[in-house]
Amino acid sequence: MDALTFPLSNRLLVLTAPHAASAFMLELSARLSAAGELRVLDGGNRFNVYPVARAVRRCTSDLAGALARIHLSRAFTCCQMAALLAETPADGLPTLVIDLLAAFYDDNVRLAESQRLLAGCILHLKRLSQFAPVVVSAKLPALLCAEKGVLADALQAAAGGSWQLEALPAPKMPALWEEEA
Amino acid sequence: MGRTLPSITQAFIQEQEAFSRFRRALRRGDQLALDDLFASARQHLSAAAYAAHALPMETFLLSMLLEQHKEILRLRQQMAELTGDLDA
Repeated sequence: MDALTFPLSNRLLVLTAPHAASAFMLELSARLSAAGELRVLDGGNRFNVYPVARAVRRCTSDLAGALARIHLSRAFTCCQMAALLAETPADGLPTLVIDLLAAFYDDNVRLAESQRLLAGCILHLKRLSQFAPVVVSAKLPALLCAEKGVLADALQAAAGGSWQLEALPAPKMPALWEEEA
Repeated sequence: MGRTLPSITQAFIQEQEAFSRFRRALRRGDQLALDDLFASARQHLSAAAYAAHALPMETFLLSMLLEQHKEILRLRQQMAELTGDLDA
């Protein structure tokens, strides 16, 4: 994590990973909250405060103070996410956007509409990233809506830095006896 | 719109599952004792929900301590009654 994100610079960093790297983003929000205020925009209802509290406790003894420094907003539709980003002031607070594309993959939203809304979101993310670090996590679309993979591509293309995290393979139990080749 | 926070019962089950490997490594008797501890914490889930603590495991541990202390008080009272009977 340290190599990937610290020190955070004023740029748009996009992480693409299974489950939208939510565990990583929660850990990152905990670390940032120990240092100062931050803004978290949750697009996939993935911000579970219990793991964050545990991670904060590892960083600082001021649990309540650190949690109070996290300004959390949730969006449940892509229009809400677009509005949320549009209304976010560029006040220099680091911004974490968790699972940005979750609502954009909704079957009920046409691809063209998703693309239009995402283009607006990207503009606002770039605006915010001029004054503070912005870290966005996203996941790839499910096979049922694979055509919406262009949204993830557009997001990655707009980023100042883009990382694709892959799940580690399950550890293999060592055999008691060497298998014959 | 779904839940934005796991219920206290979900949090309790998650915390209990987090110790499953620890439990598996214990002797059978110790496993039963550990199960008793979690069962005693489960009795106070409604109070834990009301407390809304950011670290629910702390509330569960306090619930376990509460039940342990109640047991000590009960045994102390029994002991006092028995010693009182002997003195009489």
